[in-house]
Amino acid sequence: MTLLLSLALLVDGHHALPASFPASACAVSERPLRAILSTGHRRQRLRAMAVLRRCRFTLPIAQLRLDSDPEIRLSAWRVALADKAPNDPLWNLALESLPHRQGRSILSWRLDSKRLQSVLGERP
Amino acid sequence: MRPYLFPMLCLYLACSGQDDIYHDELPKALAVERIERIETVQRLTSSSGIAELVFDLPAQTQSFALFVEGDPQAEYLITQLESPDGVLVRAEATDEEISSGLGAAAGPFFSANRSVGDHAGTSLLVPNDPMIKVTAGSWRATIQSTRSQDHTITVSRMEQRAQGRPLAVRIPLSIHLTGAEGMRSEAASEHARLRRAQNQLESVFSPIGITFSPITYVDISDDYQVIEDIELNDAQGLDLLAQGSAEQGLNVFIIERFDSGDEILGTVGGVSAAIPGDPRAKQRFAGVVVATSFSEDEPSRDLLGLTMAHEIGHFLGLFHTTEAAGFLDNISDTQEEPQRNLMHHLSQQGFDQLTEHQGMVVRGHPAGAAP
Repeated sequence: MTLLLSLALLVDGHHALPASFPASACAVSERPLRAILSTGHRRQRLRAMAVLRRCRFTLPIAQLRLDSDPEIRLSAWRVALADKAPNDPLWNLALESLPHRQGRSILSWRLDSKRLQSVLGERP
Repeated sequence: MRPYLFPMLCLYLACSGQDDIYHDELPKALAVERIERIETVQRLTSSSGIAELVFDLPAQTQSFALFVEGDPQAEYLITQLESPDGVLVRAEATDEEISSGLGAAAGPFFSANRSVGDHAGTSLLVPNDPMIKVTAGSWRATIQSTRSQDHTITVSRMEQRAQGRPLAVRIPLSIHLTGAEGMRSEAASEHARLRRAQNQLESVFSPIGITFSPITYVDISDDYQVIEDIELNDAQGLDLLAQGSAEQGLNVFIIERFDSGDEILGTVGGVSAAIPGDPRAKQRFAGVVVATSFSEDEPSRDLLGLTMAHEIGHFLGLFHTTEAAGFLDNISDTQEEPQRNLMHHLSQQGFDQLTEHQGMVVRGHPAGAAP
């Protein structure tokens, strides 16, 4: 059991985050996590996004998709594309809005998404 | 588990007569001219999930590491280790240790010489607290597996022999470049971020007597820029580790990012294949992996060098001085300035110190050669 007074402390770690958090810890940590998401360094912001997401809080995805840091934009797109079919026009929008380095990941996920759809389509 | 566990554990050990395993004071480190690494390989049968290893340590053994290789589908843990002086790793745990949530791993984790399990094998550095004696004579280890059917495991034991605990060691370092951030071997020495990371490594490890030499750069496929399994246990992760070229030393792999299928990327900065890692090339536990995308390429925000140093600390046998869950390590001088220690579970600029005791542990890793 993780003993955490504030989940916001986790933004300064660099190992894998726990898959879920106690609801009480989420509740007291939402405000500091959102502050870090606004003003932190990249790694802090990415981890704040991950913790907020695992606490089932909503993220300002539309705003984050326009962030100045392409790594933040990439993760925002990942959330936005999570439930989109591979032929959804949003995939192309994501590709157009990201530099090559991050765009490669979008292409790779789209391919995975197509494969998954193909496998699901083959099931009787 | 709360931080007061450690003193309670020391009290428990003292009361149970285990204090013979400790030196009264820290052994003196010596400027040794010669360090021998002796490797012995034994094959054992694991029966009903248990294998017993018996071996003799000669005089002048300063430290040793065990690397266990077993069934890729099973997990392994060294649950007991007994020296001529007493028990260094114990299977049994106190009620409080069991309540830590570590289950059957609690006893080994809270042992005098901490032991942790891993997939497909495991590893152990002795001592990982420099106050522990490494006494010549007969030693016995118990290796537990999650696979109950009889099967063969291979145990490689690497002993460091010298006149005393070494004051300084040299570790050959191979840096494997996937092309992340444009890092390639032909221009490695001019790549500003790579230089910054290497300078950071030097500034962290030189005060405790570790130099990295020679440093070689090796280009590997850009297929490894994105690594999917942060535990390096899938085919891609194992293939990456198999690219290692340092035959007795340390292999570092610089990738762009870990993508483990989570929606949010870039939340993992690095990983060591094991604690301790294997100094032999192409082994399952042979290396550390760090991601460039974790932090920015801007000096005041760049953590690439610190993350690399932290993972190398794990590779060389160190645990977190303080875990996120509140557990402390088994080294007595790491809580003096916990917020500056490289091995704190948090990583920030300024968390870049290693203590005298930590230095003695890492110099005992079999990757170390005479300077």
